[in-house]
Amino acid sequence: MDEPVRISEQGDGTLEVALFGDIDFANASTIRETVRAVVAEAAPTAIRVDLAAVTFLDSSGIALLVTAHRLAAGLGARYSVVNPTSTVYEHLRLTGLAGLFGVARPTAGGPRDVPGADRSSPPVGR
Amino acid sequence: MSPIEPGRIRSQASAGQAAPAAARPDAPGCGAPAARWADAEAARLRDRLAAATGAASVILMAAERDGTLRIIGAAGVPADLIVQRYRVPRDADAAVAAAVTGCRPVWLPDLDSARERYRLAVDRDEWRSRAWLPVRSGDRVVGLIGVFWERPCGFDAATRRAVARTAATAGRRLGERLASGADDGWDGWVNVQSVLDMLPVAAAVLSPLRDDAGEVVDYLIQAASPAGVDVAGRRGPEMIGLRVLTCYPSVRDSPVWTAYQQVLADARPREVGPFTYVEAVEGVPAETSYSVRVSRLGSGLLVSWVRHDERQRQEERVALAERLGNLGWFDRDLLADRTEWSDQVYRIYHRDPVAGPLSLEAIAELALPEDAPGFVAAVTALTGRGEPMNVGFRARVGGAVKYLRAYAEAVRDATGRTLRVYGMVQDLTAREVDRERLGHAQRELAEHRRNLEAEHRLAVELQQIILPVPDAPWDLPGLRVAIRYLPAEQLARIGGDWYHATALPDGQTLLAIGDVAGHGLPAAATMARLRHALAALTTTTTDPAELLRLLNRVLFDTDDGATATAVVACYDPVRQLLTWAQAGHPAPLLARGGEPVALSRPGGLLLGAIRETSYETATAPMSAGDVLLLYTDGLVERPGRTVEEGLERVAATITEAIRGAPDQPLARLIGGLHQANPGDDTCVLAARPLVAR
Repeated sequence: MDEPVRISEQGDGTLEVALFGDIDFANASTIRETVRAVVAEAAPTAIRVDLAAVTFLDSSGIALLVTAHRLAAGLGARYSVVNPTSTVYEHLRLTGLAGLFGVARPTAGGPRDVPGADRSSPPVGR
Repeated sequence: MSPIEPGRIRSQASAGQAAPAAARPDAPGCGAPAARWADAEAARLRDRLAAATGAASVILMAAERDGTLRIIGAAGVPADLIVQRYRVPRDADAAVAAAVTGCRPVWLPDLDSARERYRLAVDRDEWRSRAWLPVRSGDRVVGLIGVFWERPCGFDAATRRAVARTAATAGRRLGERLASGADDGWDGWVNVQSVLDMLPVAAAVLSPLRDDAGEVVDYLIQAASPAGVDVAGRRGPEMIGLRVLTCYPSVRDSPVWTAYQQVLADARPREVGPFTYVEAVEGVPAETSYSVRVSRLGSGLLVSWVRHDERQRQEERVALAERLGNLGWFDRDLLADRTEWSDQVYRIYHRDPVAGPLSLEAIAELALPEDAPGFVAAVTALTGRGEPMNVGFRARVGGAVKYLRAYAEAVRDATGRTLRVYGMVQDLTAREVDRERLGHAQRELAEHRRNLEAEHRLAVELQQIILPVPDAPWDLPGLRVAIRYLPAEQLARIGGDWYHATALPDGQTLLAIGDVAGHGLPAAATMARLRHALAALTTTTTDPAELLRLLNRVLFDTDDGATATAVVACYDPVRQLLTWAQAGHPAPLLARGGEPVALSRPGGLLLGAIRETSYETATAPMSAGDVLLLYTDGLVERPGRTVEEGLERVAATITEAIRGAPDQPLARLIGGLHQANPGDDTCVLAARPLVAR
């Protein structure tokens, strides 16, 4: 299986953390330690987490994003989370992190995007 | 004089009034309540008389106004005589009658001549000599003490004096007790008690005590179930023989008293509560919340009650969580200059609870010199300016250095004077070690996949300790609540889901559900910490948004990188209103008229992301017939399926449960729910308002 994380320095002080596949309990803590080590080493001025290739993100994955945010805050570095699929975005919205991280809503026509997804809660019943 | 005239009291009693300690039952769970105190009294007297005069046996009798005598207690008497323990006719030729009508002791030194002269009330060849001593109340004989000797006794003047003197105290007690009307006849309560003995609920049988005008002035507790615990912590058997108003004076002003009178009058059962019972008696918790059911039983009342806060059980759980989280709470009342520590704080400071809490000065002295100024400054800011305290410091305890962190907030009055300080202290010394150990254990377990079952067992045990899940719905103020925990199929993934449901001091009910990110032991430890913190924080506030704000801070400060989601809701049974807040958690479902709808979520960030964040609250009316469901995402979330699909399924289950059992949908509801994702653990809390009475 491919590495679930690829970290690259962008040259402008930005550290890009690209995540792949399912980010969950099985791999989140390993990724977290990798990110922690690289961030300590590189001391970036910005951290950008790219979720374009993430197919599933559970609560451990969410905790990973929060850890990266705390690492950035500790360094005074900017932090951003970009390109979530609509499913992953929904999870970020539910936890309130979409607002905290300033994540843009996936554009219409993106995979599995649903009109009206800005309802605060899904409809139930009937 | 007592306003209660014995003859008027139609409560047939076999127990006495507010009993002297010695009359307390000494053989719990068996026998008649009457036998318990009277037998104990008889046994004590027999021992004294045996020492003084060689007497073998003692029988205590009650003399009733209708002319009968009844054995109420005995010592050294064979069982076959005890069985026929009541209704000795007061024949003209009975020796006992002579003692009653003559109001004088009857001495019968020789059995044969006694048999010739009298029909003996209790005849037995072994008893060669006997004496009957009248027990008086005023000028009326209310009872008899019978004393029996196996060796013939001559009853010389010295012996008579010794017997009379020895029996005087017991006679006085017996007289007071019988004259009070607390014990005037029928033994039917004995059977009631044997029924109550088998009941797993808190219940008691009361008989009314009336004054001359026939008005009920008090109730006597005739029988009580062993499962019953009263507001002062008395167990069922200890309540027998007590008077309601003597022990619970506030009952007179409570809705329960009215219910007693009504039920007595029309025999229609009534339910009262939940109501807050405020007790003025010292040593009793000031406020307790109860629901009480009252039915008529013969001439008396059958009363059963539920104490909503289940304080003791709660305290036990909190204590366990404290130990697991290495977290203790403290509470300082500055006006009364009184400090309270939980057990864990004593443990942290290696201090005997008997010695009481350390003074602030003593705590500051234990801090390492370089940390002491920071600690003192934080204390000053807290008590002086009301600034929340969050200070880490090292302390020298028991020859080692401990890493401690204290959190505290102050309650101030309008003038800014600090009245009270609530806080928590956490011992972080072992945490790093624990984490290492846990991580090591996890690595090992991962390597040895066969051992997964072991961790499962451990995690399940831990879960059971931290989060005991009641197997049946139970009642809290205004609500009936049911919990179901569905463990993950994949064994090592158990861990992070929790609930909390408790009565609040202000008469509301707190409901909470949460989900800690991650699985296994670290998640379980975080869960324990959060749950404990929530329980402790409800002593400072009951605002769901404020509780989440504080929980967020606790998690952020104590657990680097841990996150959790939660819903905290507070139900006001008076206003029939649910006030709730959420931290990144799925919205509760509320079924009104059988139609489940997800409540609209107020804003709120998941716990542990940033130190300072605030939460919004939302309200929803909720009354009888409605059903509320709090859940964790394992119930609805599944890879490859949308959350909407999961919710549809849950909604259908709710609708079906309400339709199938409109009055009691909870058991069916939580029984019918399954997690969408067997790989995730799931916790479900269902609640429905109780019908207001």
